Amino acid sequence: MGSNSADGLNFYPYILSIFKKTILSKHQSIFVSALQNPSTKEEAFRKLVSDYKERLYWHIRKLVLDHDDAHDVIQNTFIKIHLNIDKFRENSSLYTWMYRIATNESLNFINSKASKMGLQNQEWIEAKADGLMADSYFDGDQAALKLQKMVARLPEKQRIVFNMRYFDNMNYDAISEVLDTSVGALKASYHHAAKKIKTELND
Amino acid sequence: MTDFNKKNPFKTPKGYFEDLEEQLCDSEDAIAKLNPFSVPELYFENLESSVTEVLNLNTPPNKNVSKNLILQFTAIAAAILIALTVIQIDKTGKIKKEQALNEFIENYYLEDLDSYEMLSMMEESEIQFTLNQIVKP
Repeated sequence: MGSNSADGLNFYPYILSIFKKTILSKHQSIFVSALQNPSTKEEAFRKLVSDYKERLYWHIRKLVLDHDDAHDVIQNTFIKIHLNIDKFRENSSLYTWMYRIATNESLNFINSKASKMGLQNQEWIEAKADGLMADSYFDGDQAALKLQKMVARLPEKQRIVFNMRYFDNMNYDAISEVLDTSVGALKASYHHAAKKIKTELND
Repeated sequence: MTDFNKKNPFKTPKGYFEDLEEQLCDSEDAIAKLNPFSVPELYFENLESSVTEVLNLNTPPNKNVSKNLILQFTAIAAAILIALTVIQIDKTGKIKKEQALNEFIENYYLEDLDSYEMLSMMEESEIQFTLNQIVKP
């Protein structure tokens, strides 16, 4: 009996989470329908920008490091979202889909900027990290600067995974959906990234 | 005995050291994780309008406004035109009425009144003025 009640207690949050997911999914479907309906698209899109601008901005900012670059990328991200919202089929959550667009836009941006300067992507990011102290929109101390420089030295995939896991506190399932990579591979990437950073910190 | 003395009598909760590392790292992380990046003042307040501007989402309301303005101006212009036309028609009508009345009066006096009757209806000054007008040429 006691065991049953304990099971019931364990089961309760699970049921709650399912209800929550169902409600959120329903809510998202209604919102996506509004985004895809020409008569309500504009108003719904304004709400989408208002609701997600900050979260997407910070994700982009941690990838491109510079505010002006982040601003360019977030504008491109919202343009892509606006242009492609009709193709969104709700195979993932709306936020995951937008996160994926923001990630791809950030990487495309870095790629484009780096190639224009005849640099590798990582070289370009490292140069950006080196210039952070002179950036008027960087308030970090020496420790924060050191961490950013170390993150910049990570290979691209590890850098993205580390940012999403460490700074954005995303779970592996969500990161897996965004980056279209298996959870196992992500865990390995994060482990390698964290290990490199710890080693460098200790040195 | 030596072995007995060497044996550690203290115990820790299961998995304590595994958790400890995470706990210690987390406390360091909490400091390091403070966001060192910042944005210009009112950036997020303006970002929304900036994005909608780029996407020309403001254009439809502006178009409506300009359409409404055009409609309003057209309506006002039309109203003014109609008013002027009505006034003009009214004026023309009045002029025509006055002309008709004058003609009628002239005809009436010329046809039905003799010179004596006509003079009796005039003031002395008017008679004098009329005579002067006649004499002068």
